[in-house]
Amino acid sequence: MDHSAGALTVTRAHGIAYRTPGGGNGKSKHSPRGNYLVKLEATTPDGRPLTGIGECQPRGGETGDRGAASWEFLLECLSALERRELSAANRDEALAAVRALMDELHDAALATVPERSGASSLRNTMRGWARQLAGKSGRRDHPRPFRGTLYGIETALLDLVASGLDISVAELLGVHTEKVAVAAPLSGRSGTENNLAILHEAAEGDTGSIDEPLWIDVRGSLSPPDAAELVRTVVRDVSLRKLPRQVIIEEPVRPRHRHHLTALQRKAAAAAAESGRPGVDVRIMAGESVWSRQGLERLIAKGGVGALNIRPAAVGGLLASIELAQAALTADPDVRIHLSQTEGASDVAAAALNNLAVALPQVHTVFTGDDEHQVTVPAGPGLGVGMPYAWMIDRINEYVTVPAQPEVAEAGPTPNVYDEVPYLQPLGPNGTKGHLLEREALALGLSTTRFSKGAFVATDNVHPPLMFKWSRSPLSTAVSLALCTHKEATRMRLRRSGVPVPRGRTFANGDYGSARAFAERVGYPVVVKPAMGVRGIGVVANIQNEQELDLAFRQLEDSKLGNQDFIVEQHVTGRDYRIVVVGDEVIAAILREPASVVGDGQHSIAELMVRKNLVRRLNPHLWGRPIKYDDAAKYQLQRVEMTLESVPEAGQRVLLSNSCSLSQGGDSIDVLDEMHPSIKDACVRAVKAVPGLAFCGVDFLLEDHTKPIDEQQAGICELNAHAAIGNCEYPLYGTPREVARTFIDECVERFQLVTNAERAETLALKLTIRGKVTRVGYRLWMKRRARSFGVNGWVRNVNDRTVEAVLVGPTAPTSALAAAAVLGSKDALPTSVTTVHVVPPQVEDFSIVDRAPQELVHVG
Amino acid sequence: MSVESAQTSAGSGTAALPPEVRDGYEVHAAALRRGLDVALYPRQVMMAGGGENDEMAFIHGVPESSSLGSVTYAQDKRMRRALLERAELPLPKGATFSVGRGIKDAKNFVERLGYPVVVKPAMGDNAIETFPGIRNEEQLDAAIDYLMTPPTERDTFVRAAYALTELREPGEEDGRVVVPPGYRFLIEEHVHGEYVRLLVVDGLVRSVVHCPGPPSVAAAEHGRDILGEVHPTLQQLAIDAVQAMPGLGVAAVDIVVGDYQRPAAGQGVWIVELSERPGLAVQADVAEELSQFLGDVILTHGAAVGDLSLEEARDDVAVEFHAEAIPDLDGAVAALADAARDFGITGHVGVTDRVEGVADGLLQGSARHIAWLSEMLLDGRLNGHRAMLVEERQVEPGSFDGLSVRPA
Repeated sequence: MDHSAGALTVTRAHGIAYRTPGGGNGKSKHSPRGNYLVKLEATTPDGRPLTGIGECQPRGGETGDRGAASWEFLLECLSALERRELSAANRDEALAAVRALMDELHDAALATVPERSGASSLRNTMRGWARQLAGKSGRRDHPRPFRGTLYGIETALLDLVASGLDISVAELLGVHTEKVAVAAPLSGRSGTENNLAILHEAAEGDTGSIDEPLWIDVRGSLSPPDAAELVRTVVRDVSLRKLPRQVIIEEPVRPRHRHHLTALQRKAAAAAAESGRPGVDVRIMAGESVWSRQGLERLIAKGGVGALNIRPAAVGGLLASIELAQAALTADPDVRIHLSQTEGASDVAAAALNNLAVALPQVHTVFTGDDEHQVTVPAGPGLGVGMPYAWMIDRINEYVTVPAQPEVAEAGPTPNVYDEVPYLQPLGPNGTKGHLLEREALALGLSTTRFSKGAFVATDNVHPPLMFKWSRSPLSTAVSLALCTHKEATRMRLRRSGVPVPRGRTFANGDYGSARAFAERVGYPVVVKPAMGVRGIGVVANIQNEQELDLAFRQLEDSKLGNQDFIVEQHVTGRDYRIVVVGDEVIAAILREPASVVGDGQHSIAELMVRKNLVRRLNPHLWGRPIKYDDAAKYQLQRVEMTLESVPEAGQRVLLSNSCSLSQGGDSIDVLDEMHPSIKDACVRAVKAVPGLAFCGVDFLLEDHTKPIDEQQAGICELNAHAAIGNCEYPLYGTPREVARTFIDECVERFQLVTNAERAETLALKLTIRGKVTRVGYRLWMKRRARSFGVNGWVRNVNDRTVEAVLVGPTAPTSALAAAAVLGSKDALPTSVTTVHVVPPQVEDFSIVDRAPQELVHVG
Repeated sequence: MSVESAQTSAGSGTAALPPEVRDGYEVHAAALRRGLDVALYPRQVMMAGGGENDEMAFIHGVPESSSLGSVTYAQDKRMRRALLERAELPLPKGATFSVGRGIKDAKNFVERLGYPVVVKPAMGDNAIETFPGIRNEEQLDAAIDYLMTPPTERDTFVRAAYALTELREPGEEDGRVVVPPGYRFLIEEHVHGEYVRLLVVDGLVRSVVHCPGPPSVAAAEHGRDILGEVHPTLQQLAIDAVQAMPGLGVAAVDIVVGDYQRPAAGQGVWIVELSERPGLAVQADVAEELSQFLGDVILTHGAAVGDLSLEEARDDVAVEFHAEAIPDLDGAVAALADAARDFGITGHVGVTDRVEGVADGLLQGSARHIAWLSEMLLDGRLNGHRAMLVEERQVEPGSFDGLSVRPA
């Protein structure tokens, strides 16, 4: 091993998987698009700490990446990097070290390509042969897997060694240009006419700068004949001066038709030569379809094209991008080189692109996605950017550190983590609300039919079925919900029952005069809110005087709910509690506190937020409700003169929101056992005041839940007849409470259902799934889910509208899979899932079968 | 003065009783006639009783025996169809589609089904916004286009107080705000025959009205009370339908049948609608006495469930009247007094607390008229005046010389 004077030693490698904006919100059943951030920590021989960062952009076929396999590969690479030394005493040595290391990782990537042998379908075998033949005849590129992933690792290494040399990555690569113009292509559509129309529209809007060509990315949407037609018409219109002299048409045909690109370029040149207008220059641009030297050389051998668009993630890194540009220019010095980003890139990838742009031997424009007109040589050192926390803080899925980070003792209580998150995640952030009751019903031996993510009926096959949708259940009446969803009605009802409620009154929209007089009578501070509010829209709290009141009226008017009647009520100073009542009993209570982090004296606020969000990802109710770096958080940090980079002292709590809403990143803390009996009493009285209300989430403002209610300011602000279940079932801190189980037990008792005596720890279920469930990949979807959940059984098609499955396994994953069955694969549209219990059949794993492998014996 | 004339009373300047208010109103009037105290909250939440512990509650005339789960299912036509199908009850062929992904599928479905068809929203109040007799693609497009408008902006939209709240983000189409892409509509084959509306209370058919067309669309002025004529098998069908959706104390069932006097078997018969709301507007169109009687039937069922005893019904009552949170107090008191005088109600009303917006008084006269006044005041229809709470407490009748407004 080289121990030269300039060697850097990698001490720690971080891999962070995060969803990109617009890459899915975690609610849909499509897997979200995401990036991986790589952060390498290293030390110089003299002990100076260095970091290097890079962004991996796995984009499926475009970058040779494969979903979860890419993440696994990244983790392998991170392990391989640990304790590695990089000789980086000077530029050449540093580049050689990075190149050598990357060659090694590319080889490792290649080694992961599975040997195609063994049991495989005839179709796959034929495809394999076709692929081999195409490869041998040079029509197909040699595989170069995980290019999008390796791009990020290479960027981080270049950033690291450049920082070590105290130069920019551009300087490391070799600066060739002082500045590069920024340009974006027009987005093409299908059909020649549409693309032509887009070009004409852009030409009309052009202010006459003849220098820049019109550039349209057709995204391979045309057939070769249509592409030829587009080229012909474009040249014609250029000749007729309807379009500017220079037009670039990127990827007119699909990648598998890329051998047509050179012919299209020849057609364009021939037509231009015949046109009456001098200097007509219509170029075909190779983009997505050409990502390797091999592919480029094949294109050049056929005659080449007029332009090349290089995307470093598709090519596999900055070094490979430079090589590709060099090869293209060697073959044709007149070729136009452009540089682009894939969608969903952060500042890190943008900085990498900027550094690359000025280092290319020749480049016409770069498309960074920014509004800048040009990029110049970056100052460095390294990439010249920091960790993009603001961009990814609330979208991180995974965070792995090699070697593992030493645990810093957390101030305060230890947060709960729950192992059922992976089972519940497919149901979306509100999945617990729709699923937990069914889980408990199944655990007691009831059968169910599910109609949607939120709706199911449960039956003991003796009594009439009970109907549930979200937490609307047979326990409560229609009347009780109607009363509870009207805040004013609730308040008047509760006041008559002697339960503490803030004094308040509804005013007609615009009746501010009466409202001012009322506020004067009840006394400031007051709260203003819309009469039929949702999600806190238009609510202004803690209004201290008439001026602030008028301001609040204006805010309400400007909000989405500004056309409603509005409420003015006393502001109760207190903390925010959610207390759950089932029947006559308080069964759960949480304190909700605004989003915050607690300092450890070592980590920055950004790092603490990431850590807390990772803990929240292990909570079935909170995984989809991260702390966000939004305006509220920025405002709170500004107030205490801090930023994301600030490192709070050990034990220091830093607020990141003023809302107690768990959806806004708030904490939930179980307080049931400490709650003063007088408060529980008041809750039960409040619920009893509403006829027919048997399940309720009471929103109580209290100064201190351990003190008697008459020794503090206290007020019930809302009764939720269809309250969430997951927030108290899965508190972030304190004891979890079995809300769903108690709820179902109450149903069983009230409707005298016949159930098992004990809650089952394992289930054996037969599912009948109806709807659009065949020829949509449903069975494969279920097999994959079942295997990853550790559920055994089988799945089969019954007819073209029905699938049958048997699931055997522990209650949590088995019931969750039964619930997710109503969602199914991406193109599936199940209409119902009927779930019944069977005697556990002999099943070893989970398989797709043609006919039921055994006779099933129904239970119950 | 009859209620009918009261509805168009020029003096109070109010509109006629809207059909969606009818159920709540009839049960409210029945409660006053049976000597109960009534508290009326916004959106027709009504409590009736004598004291704290023996109270019964209704929402739009729907009693407490109707569970939240059940009314939610009744408001979702896809799940309702699934439950009725499971019970092997006759339904028109039909399916639901989303406006985002399903319009092409919907058209393919109609292609297979054949015109005419009926289009309805898949969720929400039943028997509203129904488009029957759609004969071609143009009409189908028009119906779907109507449903693309967000419900709250449609003229014909009403929403029960217990309906699911739309929390999805609205969609956008060519600059127009439309329903979210997940919004669903139902397409059913348009079946032919006579329309019969049956009211089922506590598992028994208590009213059958023969309607000239879909009760949701055509006014039932030419409807007939056919309780004594309808074949028992059709009544059983309605009862079975309500049983298939357990947890509905009251339900209105619409059946299309070739001949309602013949047995259900052996002829075309379909359940085309099932609503958790009684829909007494249909019976009121036939005869005011009929809807009044049925209001009392529902109240009596509520009393039986809550184990309450009821007094003999009487037409005239005297109540202490108390209304809260009235924005324009003087205007509201004047409007109330005018409307009450038109009904021949005697007693007095006046402002008691200006800042809290409270008015009090004593009203003596027809129970139905007093109920009407309160319903209108809560619904913001008494010359546009509104209260958030009205309480009516039964008192011994006195002797009053007309209706006076007390000075504040």
